[in-house]
Amino acid sequence: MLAARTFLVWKDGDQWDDCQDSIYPMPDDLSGETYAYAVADGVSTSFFSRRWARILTRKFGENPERVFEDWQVWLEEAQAEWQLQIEKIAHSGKANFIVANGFRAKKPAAATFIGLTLTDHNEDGWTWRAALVGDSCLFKLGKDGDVSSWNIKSSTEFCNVVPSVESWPRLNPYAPTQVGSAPFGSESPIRESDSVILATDALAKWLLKRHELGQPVWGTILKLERSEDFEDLVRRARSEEDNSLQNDDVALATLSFGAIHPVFAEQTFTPRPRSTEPKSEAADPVILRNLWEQPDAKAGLLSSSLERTDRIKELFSRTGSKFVLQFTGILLVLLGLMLLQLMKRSAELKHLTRENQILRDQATARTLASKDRAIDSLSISALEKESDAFHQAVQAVSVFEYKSSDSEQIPPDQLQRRSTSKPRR
Amino acid sequence: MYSKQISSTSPGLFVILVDQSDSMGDPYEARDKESTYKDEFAALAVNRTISEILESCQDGDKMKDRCHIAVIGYGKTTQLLIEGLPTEIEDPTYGTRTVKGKQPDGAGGFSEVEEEIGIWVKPVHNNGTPMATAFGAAADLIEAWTAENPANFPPIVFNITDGEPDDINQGASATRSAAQRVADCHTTDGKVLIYNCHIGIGTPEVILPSSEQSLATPSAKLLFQMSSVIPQELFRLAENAGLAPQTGSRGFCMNATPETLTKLLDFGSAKAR
Repeated sequence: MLAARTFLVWKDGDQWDDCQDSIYPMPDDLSGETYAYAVADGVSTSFFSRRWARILTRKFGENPERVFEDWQVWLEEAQAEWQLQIEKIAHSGKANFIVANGFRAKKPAAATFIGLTLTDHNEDGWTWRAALVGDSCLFKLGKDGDVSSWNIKSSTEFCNVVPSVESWPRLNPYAPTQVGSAPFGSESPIRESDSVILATDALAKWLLKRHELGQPVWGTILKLERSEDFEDLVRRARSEEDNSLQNDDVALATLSFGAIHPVFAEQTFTPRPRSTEPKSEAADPVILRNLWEQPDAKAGLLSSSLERTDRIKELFSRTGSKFVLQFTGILLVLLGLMLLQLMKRSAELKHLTRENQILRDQATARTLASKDRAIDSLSISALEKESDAFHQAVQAVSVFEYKSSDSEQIPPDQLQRRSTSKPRR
Repeated sequence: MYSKQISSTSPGLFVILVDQSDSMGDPYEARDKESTYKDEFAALAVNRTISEILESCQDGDKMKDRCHIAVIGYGKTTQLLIEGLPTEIEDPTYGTRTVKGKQPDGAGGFSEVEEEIGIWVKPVHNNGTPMATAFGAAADLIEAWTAENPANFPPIVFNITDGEPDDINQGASATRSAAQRVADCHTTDGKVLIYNCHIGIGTPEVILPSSEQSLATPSAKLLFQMSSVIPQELFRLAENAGLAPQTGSRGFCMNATPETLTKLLDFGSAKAR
């Protein structure tokens, strides 16, 4: 049973429409009935290479057999399609002089290419054939644990000058290398538990290097299911301490025929990330421009403006700290004053309670004495006078009690809560 | 060192200083007869170099900001003639001009084709040679740029001149000091690269010397001292441009012909391509 996945990740810092790699089928278009797979890596310094890479992979997928029947005719059709697209752009009126120059000078787009097709399935396995130009790699992982690769055999073979397919006819163009199983070639057919991988140069180099170092990661690659998993793998591989994956566009197709062989399944990736480097950020063109708006005042302006920015940041930082400290200090002082006031009120309460008790005792004693005297002398006026004193004493206690309840408008438990709450920053 | 790729995520900086002093109005034999005076050929070479850098930043129908470009002219005044990212300067200040160029013919040779180049710099010649001011202005720019791009490929500075700095008779201390400020700038990928090209009639022409022995005049020795030793890492680029660097070779040409000036500019800007 064939299980195929395709993945495409672009260079870190770029966007989707900057990606120079192309793949067929696109990850979202993959179905179980696909028997043609292709990757192409547009040479970034060539002219409209992204369009060229996409034309190559799409045209292969539409009719893979034509590539093998007559490469030259197939290539001329692809070239005609690319030239028509670029002519429209160059004559659109929106193109700059560089595009017009490029088209007039017949500047070519260039791309590496692999097209693989599965042609038949019988008791020996799958018959297959592939056409390859350049340093994108085809790997075949056999069930005996062997790894075969085309056209690159070693990670040291990758270099900056690579054969490529060009979008204008040229003298002595590179012809594709063709490999396959009988009757197309001498390789063995794809059997149960075999796996096939197509990868553009950066990933192919990384896979080969890991394999050469005895740290293969074939299992991780073959078990990839979702695009998110592949993006995560690429991100981690780019962050490796040693032999990291180069920051380049990456196209990958994996084809597993039955269960992954246990030898490869166990070969998984253990990240060993490097320590963080200082981030390089692009200079702000506006800042650079401002320096030169007044030619006479150019010298030193930018550096001093940067210094000013730093000083402002530093001052802001210091001012912020000062503000927090001052706010906390004021809060503590207020809390202290409130506690002192509470203690003072508490002492007054105790003192007045004592006085109250004395007054109560005295009033009681006087009342009793007055009653005794009234009984004794039947002097009504004297009794009324003493009775007034009692009322005054009681009134004094009532007044104190009122004051005491007034002092507890901020209850002690509430004061406690306030004193323990954290100051805002 | 000198291994960082110039890209939109890690842009480079190219600064071109152009002598616009009076003597730049002298005749200069050009191979294609498109210009016959030094200032005209210098302007053409600078415009062609900017066009080629922009071409390398063109990605399909999209211009990518892979580098900053600045051109400082020095003569009667020292001024910034152009500065910006490719997307900001892709429309040439003075339009385009059709020139003859050479294109690989696919059979190992070259065929002559007409091509357009942008015009940002016009030929000017007037007054003295305030090279110290020009290097000082470049130092301001580069110091700021390296502070903001500490891990990128280091800036590349070209100085195209035909004569002596104004302070040559005073020991050129101001020029030397300003150039030293530029040379002291660096990123984690290397020090700033300064390439000086003295244009002349080619007799005797000295290309990428590794010592002062063959240099006769104080101004030639000064320019030699102000030039960077070409790093081994960049030898291949120099060779691709048709130059032959040796160990210790400096990025300096004396009495350079138009062909040599073109080669030096090709080599220096090759990192962008």
